[in-house]
Amino acid sequence: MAFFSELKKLFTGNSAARLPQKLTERDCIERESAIGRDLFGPIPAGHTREFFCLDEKTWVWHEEWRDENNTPQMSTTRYEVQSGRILKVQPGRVYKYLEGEELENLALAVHLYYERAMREVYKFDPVSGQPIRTTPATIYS
Amino acid sequence: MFPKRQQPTITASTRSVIPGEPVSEYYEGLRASQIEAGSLHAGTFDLERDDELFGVQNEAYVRGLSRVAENSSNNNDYIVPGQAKPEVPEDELNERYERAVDIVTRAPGQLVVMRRYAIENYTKRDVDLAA
Repeated sequence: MAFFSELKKLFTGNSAARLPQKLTERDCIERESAIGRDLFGPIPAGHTREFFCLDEKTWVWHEEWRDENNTPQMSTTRYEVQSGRILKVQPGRVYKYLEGEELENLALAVHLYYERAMREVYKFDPVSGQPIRTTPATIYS
Repeated sequence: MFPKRQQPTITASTRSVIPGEPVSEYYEGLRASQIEAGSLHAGTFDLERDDELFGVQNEAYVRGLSRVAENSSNNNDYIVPGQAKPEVPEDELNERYERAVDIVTRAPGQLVVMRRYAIENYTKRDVDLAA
């Protein structure tokens, strides 16, 4: 019987492996986060950085690194969207409403994240809202 | 590469939006192309925390970024380092505040809508190829 099942695989292939893998929300966030961490330039050696949109109300900035004693450190900052305001939440119950330069810088990062995620992950033009279609290069004679 | 399908209007929790509806117009004058990828820095969000993590050098990045942002919205009226910043009228400050909050507020909703669309219509391979 094993022979026949192997023979069948020869003709049909391993169907489980060939099934397209379904995309999940986590996949989307991971791919967006790859863009988010790039927005801020080179990551210092030994640092791990994530910046991503968690859900409709939350942006997350997470950093991990080792201090001078080689002790692992980490910090997670959440930016929560509230009505007409953005609340920054940091470890140790530190809360602050963003304003001024800090708010504008966050907006700038979000703007770039959004534009790049739309183009690079989802292949949608963020301005027109239309899918980006790859067309063959035009050759002029 | 992706399934050919009419792009739907997706209903978000509060209203109907098209995936990719521009946030850009709410941040006029500031275009991604004006800022090279990688020119931002982690410390741009918070100077105090930034100094703790990355040292004083990072302040330069922060100032640089601030100048990029200001130049983009002030018709390239460059600020010379060391020169006092011109005072910004309160109306303009309020307008800038609202614009910034609007971007930070609207983008997640649209990304979530886009994710739902992608989950329904794309496979992992589609997104990997796209990246």
